[in-house]
Parts: sequence; C-alpha cells; structure tokens
Amino acid sequence: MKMNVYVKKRVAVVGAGLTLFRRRMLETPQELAWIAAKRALDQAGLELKDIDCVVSGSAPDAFDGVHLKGEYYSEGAGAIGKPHLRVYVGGGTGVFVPIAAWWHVASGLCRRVLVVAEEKMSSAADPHPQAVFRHIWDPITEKPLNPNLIWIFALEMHRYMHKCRVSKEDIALVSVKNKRNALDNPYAQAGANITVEDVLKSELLVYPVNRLDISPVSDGAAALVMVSEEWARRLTDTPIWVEGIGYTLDTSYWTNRELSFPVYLKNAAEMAYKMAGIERPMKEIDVAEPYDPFDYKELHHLEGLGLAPRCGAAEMTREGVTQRDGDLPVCPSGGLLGVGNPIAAAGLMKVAEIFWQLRGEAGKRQVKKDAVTGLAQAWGDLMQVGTVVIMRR
Amino acid sequence: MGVSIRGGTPLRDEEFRAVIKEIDSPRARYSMAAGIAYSRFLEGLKRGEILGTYCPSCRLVHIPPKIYCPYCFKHLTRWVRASDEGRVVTAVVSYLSATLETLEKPEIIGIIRLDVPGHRFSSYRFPGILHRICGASEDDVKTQRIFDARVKARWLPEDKRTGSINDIECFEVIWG
Amino acid sequence: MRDVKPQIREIEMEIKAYHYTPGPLGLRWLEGIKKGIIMAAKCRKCGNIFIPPKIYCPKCFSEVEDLVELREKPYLASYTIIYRDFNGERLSTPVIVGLVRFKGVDGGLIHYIEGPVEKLAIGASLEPVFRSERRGSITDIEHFRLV
Repeated sequence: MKMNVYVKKRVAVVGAGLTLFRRRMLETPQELAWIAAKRALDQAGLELKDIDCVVSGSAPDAFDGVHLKGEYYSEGAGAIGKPHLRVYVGGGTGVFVPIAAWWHVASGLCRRVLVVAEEKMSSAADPHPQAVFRHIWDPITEKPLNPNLIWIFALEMHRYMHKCRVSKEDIALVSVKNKRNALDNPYAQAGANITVEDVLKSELLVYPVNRLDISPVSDGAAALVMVSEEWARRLTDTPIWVEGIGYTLDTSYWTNRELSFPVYLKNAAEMAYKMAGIERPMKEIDVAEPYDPFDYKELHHLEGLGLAPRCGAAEMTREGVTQRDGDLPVCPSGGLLGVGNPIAAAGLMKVAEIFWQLRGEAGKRQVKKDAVTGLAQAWGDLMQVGTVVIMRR
Repeated sequence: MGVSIRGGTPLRDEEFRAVIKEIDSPRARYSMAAGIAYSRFLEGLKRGEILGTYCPSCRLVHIPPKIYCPYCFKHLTRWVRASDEGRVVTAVVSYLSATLETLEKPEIIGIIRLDVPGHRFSSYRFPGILHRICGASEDDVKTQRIFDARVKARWLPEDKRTGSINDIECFEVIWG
Repeated sequence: MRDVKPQIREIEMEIKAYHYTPGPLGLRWLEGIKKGIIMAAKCRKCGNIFIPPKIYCPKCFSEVEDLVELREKPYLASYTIIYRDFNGERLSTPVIVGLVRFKGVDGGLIHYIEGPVEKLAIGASLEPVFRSERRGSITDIEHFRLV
C-alpha cells in the first residue's frame, strides 16, 4: 500500500445501516439517528457498549430546527459518555463523517467507531426547506438579489453545457438511470421508470434545470461501524478497507472562477488516490457513487474525479458505461436523485452502498462486474468542498 | 414489527398535516456588519463605481473586494476601480422567486466577468459577480447566444441608490 | 482604511415556522397527556423507565415500545424563580420554573410551578393541573401545583 501519510492502524468498515429516506418522517432527529446506528451495530455484530468513539455529521441546524443539533441528536447516535465529534462541510458532510472517523481509528485513538449522519429537512415545513438555503449566500453582495438555490446549480450546469457541448438530453440520462436504479433500493424515496422526455417535459424551474433534474428533499439517517484491523479480523471475514481519503476546499467566491470543471474535487481525489496507491483511476475504480443532487453533477463529478475524460462523462453515460452492468457502474444505489437527499445522510448512504457492493450484499442492486475497489464522493458549500473515500475488499 | 426493522415511519402529506406536533416560529433578525472591504464597496456603488482590491502576488483583482487574498493570504491595500462593463460567463432563466413561487415575468441571472482597465486575468480566476441580466430574451439564454455577450451596468438614478448591490438594476446586454 | 464608513444590513430569518413531529412513541405519550394521563417509556430489555419517551432506551440502546402510566405524584427536583421577562422587563408576578421528576423514573419534565410559596422546597410533592382544552402538548399541563 502506497501512502502519503503515516497510518498507525488500517481502518475497515464492518457494518452499515440506513433509515428509509422519505419526504416526511414521524421520528424525531434523535430517533432517526438511532434507527440507522442500531442497524449498523446489528450488522457489525456489536452493541453500543463495544463502541469507543462516535463521529457524526448533519447539515445546517436550520433544517431540523434545533440549534445545538449535534448535541441534541448525539444520544440517538450513541454518543453519551463517549468522545463525540460532529463535523460539517455542507453537502460534503456525509462523506466527511467517515473521513473524520478514519482519523480516529487510523491514529490509534479509538478501535471501534460508530459513524452517524442525520437530516430532518421536513421540520422546516413553512414555507419550504428551501428557505434555509436563503442563508447560504453572501449577505451583502448576493442575498439582496433574492437568489434561490437552484440559480447556483443552473449557472454551473449551463456553463458546463456550454464549455463541454453537452445537451440537456445527455444530462437527463443520469436522472433516468439513477431513478431506475433506485427501484431496486428498499430505502429509496424517488425510484421511477422515466424517460429523457419525462425529464425534459417536467416543470421548468430555472433554465436549464427542470424538476426531474433535481433530487428530492428528504428525512433520513445513515450509519457505519468503522474499526481497526485487529477488530475487523475478529468481527468478519469480509471487512471493507478504507484505503484512501481526500478532502479539500476552495473559497466561497464561486463567481470568481471557471465553473465547468470542479478543481476542488480534483484536488481531493488526487489526495485519496495517492493514499490508496491508485495511479489510473479509470482502470482501477470498479464502482463509484459520485454526488448527484442534480443530474449534471454526476457528470461534472466523474470528470473531477478523473473517472471520465474532461467533457467526456456524457458520452460514457450515453454508451451505457455507467449502468449497473457497465464497465464503470455509477450510482448503483440510485443516488440522491433516486434514493433521496437528506443532505448529510445522503452522502453517508453512498459510502454504505459502496460497502455493500464490495461485500456482494447489494441484492438486486449488485453490479455485474466483480467489484474490488469503490469510491464515494460528496460535494458541498458554494461549489467549494470535495470529500472522497476509496474502499477496497 | 419494530420501527428499527421497518426503517422508520413515513408520513403522507395529509398525515403530516394531521399528526400531533409542535409548531414554532423563529423570530430571528440579523444585523450584518458589511466589514471593511464591503463597506467601501457599498459606498462605491452609491457613487456609481465598482471597486475591487488588487493582490500584487497573484495579480487578481477581487470583486467583491476583500482585505486579504484568499489564495495568497496577503493583506490587500490597493484599491482599483473596475469598469462597469464586462462579459457574460454563464446565464440562466429563473421562473421561480427566491421562495419558489412562480414568477410572472421570468428573470435572467448571470455571472459577469468585469473588465478592469490595465489588468488581465486567467480564464480560471477573474473578477466575477452575480447579477440580473437585461436586454436579453429567454431564447438568447437557451440558444447560448448570451455566453460571452458584452454587458454594461444599468444604474439606479443617484438619488435612489442606497449602497447596495441593487444600486445596479441589472447588466444590460450590448448586442454588437 | 480608517476612512470607511461601516455599513450594517438587516436580514430576516425566512423559515416562517418549524413543524416538529414527536416520533412514534412520543405521539402515543402526547395522546395520553391529551387524555390527562402522564406516562413514561419502559424498556423491556433493561427495565429502564424514562421520561420523555423515545423509541430507544438511552441506557441500553434497545428499541422501546411500551408506555406505563405514572400514578405516583412527582416531586420538585430543583427550581428557579424568574423576575424578568425575555426582554428584560420586570414581571408583575415572578414565575417559578421547576424540574419535575418521578420516583424511580429517569429524566424529568421542565414545567411551571404554582402554589403556596411557603411550600416551595426541593423535594416538595407536586400534582399536574391540566387545561380543560387539550391538543396533545406538554402545555396541556398548565402547571404543576405544590401540594
């Protein structure tokens, strides 16, 4: 294993758990965290008393409507009486949580870590959870223009379409694929058999974004159990090793840079590839879960990750390379477009999906090729954050 | 069957409306300090000027301005005046208001790369701002004719300006 | 840059209202309060009885599905006397807020306390005073009375 950091302990994932992802859940944020945590512990064959540390993540407190949200849900995440850390990098949080958990195990600080991400967006019911996004903008130079969240994505998407000569039809193929994949996912909120035509004919929100280009608002939680090598060997015959992590940040001045290519992600991916000893990601990554809150983002991120040539992800998608039976299956879970987007939980769901795929436990979602190495990625803040995790069987 | 096995309890819209719950309204009003660089920027807008700060290390002009360069971490003290003209980097048509109501008249929004006399920038980093675009049609956006189009700020009359990004009504396309 | 006139801009929070759901067991608990009954959650696995109820046991992390009625009178575990309102204005009548606990039950409720001031003491016995109009809320209990 080639590393650019000193790692005291090798780190493995030995269990994962999810709640249903749905628009509105009866459970409280604490209870959602508990359901996912309990299921991950059950799969790992551990009880809470076996856990040394808890690492958690959640997006802005303004969704759940509880300030000190981390402290509030921490009980359901199993953190009482244990060292607990909540991390936050916007939409990138879900993949940043296992990265932070990795530090805990790799450093030798903790041997068994419970990793939890939770989001309850439905609390922000009036007028709409979207109103929370009204406060991500620069309050002096952007907010007075009355922006809505879709603007920023639409501006980036249109720039990408222009620079890369990509059509709306090409981009819609991602939504079609991911929603179809989600039909096989028992946790999914938005699985559907739709066509490119359906996407193009769905309500036009902010050109070039139509309704079916966007993932839904959701409630949900996800959890993992991450342990040191000696514990991994003791608990299971099929640990999934976390072999590379990467995370980098650009500024929040997103209007000051070329948006068609995500440099923030390229840097994060290079860090993770270097750690995992991966030199040719296109050949070495077998299955990927890039972040897809909007359909074009999957293409944009595949290129940032070096899993597609620049401006080449659309062609790969057209040719079926990214289908579950293709050479590089992408978002076999159904992604955020199909499974749902409870922000932090959605990112961690992607890591859980790679875990299940590499273990051969993905059921009807199992990719056709024998997947040994997988990658999950999330993106966050104002076109700023890239978070990447690489796992191997 | 336990709720942990079921994975939770989804509610349909009408169930969510009907279920016993607590409803509470936040009453938060923030007073945001514009800070050193933005205060000067806003004063400039009131006079009809777009001001930025120059980083001698990376030669970038930061608009909106900052007192430090986020890339070089240098303290910035040189102010420059940008032209109120530039080119459209990307543009979209919004059919929705900020709170997701359908707009009667769709709005065109874009990122404008501003000209700064005497300065040149790379294609990757440049002084760019978010604003409304006028003098263009929905079709100009959808056909991508608007990309790279020349635009010029349309200012509010001087007595109507308040020291706000909205002192610029929009950036108007100069078709040529 | 000392010549800069500092600029301040007012910005309003735009979520008009949060809608908080109580969870499956919390829902049954609030329905009990609506009927004038105070219940606690009971863990089948470790026997822990706790209030307010949740679907998991904070002690052993198992799933919790049962509620038990609390028939014994609660007691005042601690209290504070409030002389000024939220904006700092002096109240005409001071308000007592207490931590209400039940013997043998983990957790407790924060609520308003009323009754003869000479009886106000830590450990004092309390009883709930319910409103006549109830909707399934902690505020269906108007206050706890010192007895």
